[in-house]
Amino acid sequence: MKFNWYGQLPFLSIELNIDDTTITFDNVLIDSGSASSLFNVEKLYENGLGIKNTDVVCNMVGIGGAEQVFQREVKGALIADCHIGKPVVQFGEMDYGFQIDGLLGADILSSMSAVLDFHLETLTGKKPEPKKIRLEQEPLRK
Amino acid sequence: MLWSEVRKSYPNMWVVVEALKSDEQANEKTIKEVALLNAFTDSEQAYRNYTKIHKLQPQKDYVFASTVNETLKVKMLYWAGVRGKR
Repeated sequence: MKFNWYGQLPFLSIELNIDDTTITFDNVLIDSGSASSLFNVEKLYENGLGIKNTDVVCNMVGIGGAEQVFQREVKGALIADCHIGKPVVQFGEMDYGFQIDGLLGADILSSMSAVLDFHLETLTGKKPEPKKIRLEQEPLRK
Repeated sequence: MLWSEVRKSYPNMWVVVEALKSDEQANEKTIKEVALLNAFTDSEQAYRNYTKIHKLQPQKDYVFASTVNETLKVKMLYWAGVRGKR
């Protein structure tokens, strides 16, 4: 899937299935420098969803301060033609001074074995290969 | 004010508080004592109130949470990258 450049950073569009509602997040930064994935809570509000009292309260601490986010396991994600089941994501305010709907962090990128190609300007995910079952040789019967 | 007192006075609500006393262990903070700032029935209103006051005083430890939770636990996560830039 082709990504787009915005402010010298790679962005792409992804879908999240949250409580059986499919929400498109258009401006998602591919951010391997973030351990986890964060999405703009405003998108939940636009779709009649919101923060739940079962969400885990998290405090993200980094350069420039701290911000409160909410963590939840959602039903699924569709990223670069890869279906990801039950990813754990965070929701929060993303007031970084430019239009951004999410950060695709190293957690999801690694779970989809993502390959970021700056020459072709694509993000691709490897489909999980079926595990090879190694059959143990049965001991010879006497 | 103890978190248990907040829960008793504002059951099943969303509150914005300032953490005053907390214990941190293994990247998880348990907030014991708070100063109550606002209480809401709706999480969106509480969230908007939290973001507003957090921007005014980002150095303060403001938290917004549901009083459904018996303990007020905050998971501490650390990141590198674009997050946090203002």
